[in-house]
Amino acid sequence: MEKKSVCEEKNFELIFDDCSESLRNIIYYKCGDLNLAEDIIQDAFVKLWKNCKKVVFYKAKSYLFTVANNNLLNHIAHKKVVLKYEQKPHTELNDQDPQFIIEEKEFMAKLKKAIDNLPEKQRETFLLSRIDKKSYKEIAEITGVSVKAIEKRIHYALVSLREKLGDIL
Amino acid sequence: MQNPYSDETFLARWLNNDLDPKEKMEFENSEEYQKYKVIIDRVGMLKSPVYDKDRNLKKIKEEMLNTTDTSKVISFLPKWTYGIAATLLVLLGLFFFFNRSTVYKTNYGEQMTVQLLDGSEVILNSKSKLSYKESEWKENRKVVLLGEAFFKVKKGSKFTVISESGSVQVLGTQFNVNTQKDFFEVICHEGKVKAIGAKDSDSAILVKGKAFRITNTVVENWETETSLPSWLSGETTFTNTPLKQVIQSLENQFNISFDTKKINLNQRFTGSYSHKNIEIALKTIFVPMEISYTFNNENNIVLVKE
Repeated sequence: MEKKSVCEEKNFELIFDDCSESLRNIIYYKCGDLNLAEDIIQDAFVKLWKNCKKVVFYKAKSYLFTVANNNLLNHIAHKKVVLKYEQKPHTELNDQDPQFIIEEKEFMAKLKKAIDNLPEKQRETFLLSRIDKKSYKEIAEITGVSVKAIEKRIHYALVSLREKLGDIL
Repeated sequence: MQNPYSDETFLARWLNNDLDPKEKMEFENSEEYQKYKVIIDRVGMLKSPVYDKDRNLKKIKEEMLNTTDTSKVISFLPKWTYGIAATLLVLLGLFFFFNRSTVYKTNYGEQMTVQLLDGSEVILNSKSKLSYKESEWKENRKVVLLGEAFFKVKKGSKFTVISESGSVQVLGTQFNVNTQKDFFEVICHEGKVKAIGAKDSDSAILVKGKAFRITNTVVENWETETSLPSWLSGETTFTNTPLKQVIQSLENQFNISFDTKKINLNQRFTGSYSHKNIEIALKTIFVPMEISYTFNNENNIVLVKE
């Protein structure tokens, strides 16, 4: 195992580069509040810096996640989550008839709502995988659970989405 | 929630392209597959909100600076320098520990017999100091002398007495060394010694009964008959010795001081005085020299030429 010290600024920045975005997203997927998510990860990184001697380099990611997660628990009494996304332009839609475009928009709205309604852990895992393109192993590393558990969460998230959207598919 | 699949990771494995070919074919031919595919395609059109990495890093660094100021002590020196400093300290300590000298000292009127590591014996006369380094003794029998001492050296490797005004080298013998400021006297009582003055040219090899002296760079050689220095038996003997050394000897013996401004210190004295009684000693020395002595106070005596 590498013996990089988190206390060295270049190593600290390496960790930041590597995982600050996905951490921000995890917290965002959990709480649906972008500003809160960024505040929380900033605090987590500052705490990592303060405790840099106690944290081993390769454990830093899961440390950050744990700190951010605990911090989040202090903040919210589980409000209803409504996530917002940047949406990629739908190339196929450009030349379609207006009826189809409307149906497509409705579907997207329902899909988003269905995702919002997933249990928190399924939601964060599913989105980290599908949007952030993180491998199951990486997600397992960050959240500190087994790959198997991640696979189950993904599986059930998808089953759940399929059920909720069943009537319009 | 009902799970329509054989296990709880099926869809996750499908997404990861981890299904075995048979499973995969069956699934892809099912109606359900199309529905899942639509969901996954549409989810693929979603992106997380824009993330401004630099802005976040900047905020974190500002916070880090604040923390540094309050709770994190930045070392003035890098940590490894403490290690080096500690090591040097220990080495220095060991150096002085192993390099320390063994010191013997006598006060006014005292004598002391010292047994050295090789069994050689040194008898220190009053107000004298002998030191040597235990750590170097095996390689080098070497002692440093200030004052007067009689040596009975056991046979062995070269034995050296070092003083400010000269040194003596022997193999195994008995001899007396008296060393004061500008005065260096060696008397050989047995065997053979080599006396070396401050200048290498001022040296002499002495056999039994021979004596050697340097007074203010003037070298003298003479003979003596005593087999042991008289001061060992409570009497100090001088042979044509400058008065300065005689007075020094009295001072060391009786813890007194002399005012010598009114006499000539280069006069020579031959004779001896007893350590038992200061009055008798003074009389023995100064009456023949035609010098009167008067106690200024208990410890100070004024000498005047009669």
